Amino acid sequence: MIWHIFKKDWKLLRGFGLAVAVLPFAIVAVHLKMDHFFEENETLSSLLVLLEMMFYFGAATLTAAAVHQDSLVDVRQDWLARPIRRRDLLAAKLLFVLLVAQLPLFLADLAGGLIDGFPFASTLAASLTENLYFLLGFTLPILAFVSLTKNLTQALGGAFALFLAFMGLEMLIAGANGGNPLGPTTDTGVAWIPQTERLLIYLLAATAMIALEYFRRSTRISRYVLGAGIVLCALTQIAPWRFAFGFEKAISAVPAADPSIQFDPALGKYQSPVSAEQQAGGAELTNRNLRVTDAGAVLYLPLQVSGVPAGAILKIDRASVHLLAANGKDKGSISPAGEQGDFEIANDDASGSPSLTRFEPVHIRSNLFNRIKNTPVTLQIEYSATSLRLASTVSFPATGADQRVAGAGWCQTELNDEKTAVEFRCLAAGSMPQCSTVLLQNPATGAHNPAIHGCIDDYSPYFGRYKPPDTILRLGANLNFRDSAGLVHYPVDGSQIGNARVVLKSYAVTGHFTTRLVIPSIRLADWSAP
Amino acid sequence: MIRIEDLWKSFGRHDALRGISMHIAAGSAYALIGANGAGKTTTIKILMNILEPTRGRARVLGVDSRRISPRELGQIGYVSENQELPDRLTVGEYFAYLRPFYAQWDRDLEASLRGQLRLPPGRKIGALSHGMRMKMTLACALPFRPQLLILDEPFSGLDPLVRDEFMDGVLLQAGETTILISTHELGEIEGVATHVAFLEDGRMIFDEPMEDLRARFRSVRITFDQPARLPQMLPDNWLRVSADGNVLEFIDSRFRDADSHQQWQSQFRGIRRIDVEPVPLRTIFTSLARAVRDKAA
Repeated sequence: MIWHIFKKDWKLLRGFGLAVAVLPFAIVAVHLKMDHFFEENETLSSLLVLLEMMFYFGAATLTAAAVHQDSLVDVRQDWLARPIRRRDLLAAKLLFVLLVAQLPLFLADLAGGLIDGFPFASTLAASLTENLYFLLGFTLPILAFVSLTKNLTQALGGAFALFLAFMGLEMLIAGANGGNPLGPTTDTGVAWIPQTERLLIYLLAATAMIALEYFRRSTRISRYVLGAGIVLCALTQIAPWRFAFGFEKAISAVPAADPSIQFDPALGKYQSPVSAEQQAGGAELTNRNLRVTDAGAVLYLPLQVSGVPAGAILKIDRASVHLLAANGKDKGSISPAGEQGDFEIANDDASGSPSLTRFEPVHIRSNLFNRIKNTPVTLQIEYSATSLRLASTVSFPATGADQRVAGAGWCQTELNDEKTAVEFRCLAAGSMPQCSTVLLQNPATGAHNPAIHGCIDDYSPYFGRYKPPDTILRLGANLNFRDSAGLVHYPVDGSQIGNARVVLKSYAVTGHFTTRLVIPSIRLADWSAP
Repeated sequence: MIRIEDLWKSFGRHDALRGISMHIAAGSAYALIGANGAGKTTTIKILMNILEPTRGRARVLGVDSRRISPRELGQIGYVSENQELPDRLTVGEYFAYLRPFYAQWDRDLEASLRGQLRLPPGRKIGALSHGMRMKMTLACALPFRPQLLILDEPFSGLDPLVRDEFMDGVLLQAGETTILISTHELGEIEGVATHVAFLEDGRMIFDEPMEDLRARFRSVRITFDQPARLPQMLPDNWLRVSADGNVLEFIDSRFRDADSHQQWQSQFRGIRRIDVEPVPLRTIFTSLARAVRDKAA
């Protein structure tokens, strides 16, 4: 009877179903029309956003419409008095959303990946992964939620009420978290842990609600489950950093040897390299993810880092900075939520230099800084860090490249309209290198412009990532070689661009570790930014 | 066929049913009567496992109502005044949808009912009038020859012609099927019901065969030689008592032919004449309902 019920729903909703089913294909078509790499058409970009929103809203309302055909919460529905097995009814509704919402998304992703020339296996895996995320994170929770409602009006009203409730919870969390609703793991490599917790909560809550509704019609208990699920989801946001990073360490390989970080006052105060700053400001890897803090003062601590193998990167995921008074009394945290490690230390020296220097920026609130800046204090920094090894190095012509490279995907280069930078773009189906470094090099002289570095900040052990509305991951950087103001001189300039190559270095995670740096009797004023 | 024992149903603080019990034997046509809000629909929805009882239990076709499965539902025809049908399907499509769910669906009977009730096959259910929808639900409840036919306020909002057509459809099943019909349109069930139960404010006031009910209710008119006076203590079986001139009128709810006459003769002096007449079901219902409310007040 499952197919029989499905056919009835299809007969009633086929127009709407077809409209929703066609949207993922339209999204892929727009992507193709935009030529993926250099998506600069504003009209098509706006259309893409519109299509994405339409797909999500359409899939949700279609799911609601299918469930409401045989509403569970009403006592007047004809089907309640018919010999219809509840499990058949549930299976028919699931079949409907799988065939009308999930399947077109899967086929469109698959088609898009194959049209782009990605291998079938990786495209299939990426499409399946995204479909699974979409099922667990969207379709199933929506199906469970709408099964508690009688019609679309009730569903929309309920969704609005849930939104308000969730916002209220966020405000409570923010109140308890120093005004920040985002937890310590947000936008970090271990954000996948609370995200996975949320997916599990979605799955468990949705399964419980669906079972309660379809087999017991216990709407009241289902609503309690929904409420509990929302509270738990909100709480996952404030998962403690120690727990999340400890878990990440536990499931990861142990690095051969932990690098060491030492404070080295002999390196002197930080001097801003203007040209590099301008370069970095003009060109960043698009996946780079920095959090700007509201701190009023910045300290630059001179650090010596040893034990980073040649070609490897030490990435600081988080630095939690504490101050201790001279008498050893804890004066509290400089940054109560900890600071996202916004720096990486790369050992580019092929000979394997024994130690690297680095000035670590530490943000500090103005009022605290002004109060203690001339008082000797002990600074204690807890680092949560990740070691990455060089996985591959590939190079492309600076202009006109169109290459497919294992690990990096499909990459192209071209000059920007102003002829001041090389636009470098890569597409990959399903997965990308954890971190990448891109630079513009003249192979004849060995000279290169400052490198641009970026990480995708996701240490999840899964294949594929949920990057709707398609499965294509995008990596890009603009590599400047000419400053139109004439202030910056680049080692590889416009005259060499014909022979220049874009070098892409890809890095893979080798392990995670934590280490503590204690700097006794430091006067903060000595290390503040000039 | 149906057995209800001490059934309670509460919605929040409101008790919709307050411990009703009844038994419906196979082959009977059972009328559940009562005013709006008396608990008729709640009782039926519990029988159909659409609602769960708060206390007590109901058995339908030998199965606890909470455990009614598609096997039992395949033997029960259900028609309700507020049944929600899929409005965007046509009449023909809905029949086609329902057929496979019933092992014993009789297509000839379906065709006969659709013809008799004049249901337009190509019209969308949402475009049907209320009367047509009721006929449609009835036509969908009969072709599988149910053992039990449950009709919940089937006559609400129907014009007399449609009521007749509807009842003709029901009568097609009479004899083969046990019928439970809840209504306050008593005229429609006079010739059909074999048993009657009267619900008021969630309580069962009585539950008995129609013949017994008819036999024990009589309209009594006693004419005296002098002006009639009401007794100081009115018997509780006298309903709608009135005295006008020399005439005392009331409805006796415990009438027994010889005994009652003897009782009146001994109770009153100067009786010139006693007229006793059967009472229509509608009058029985309204008299009882009024009496119960007066008592409650």
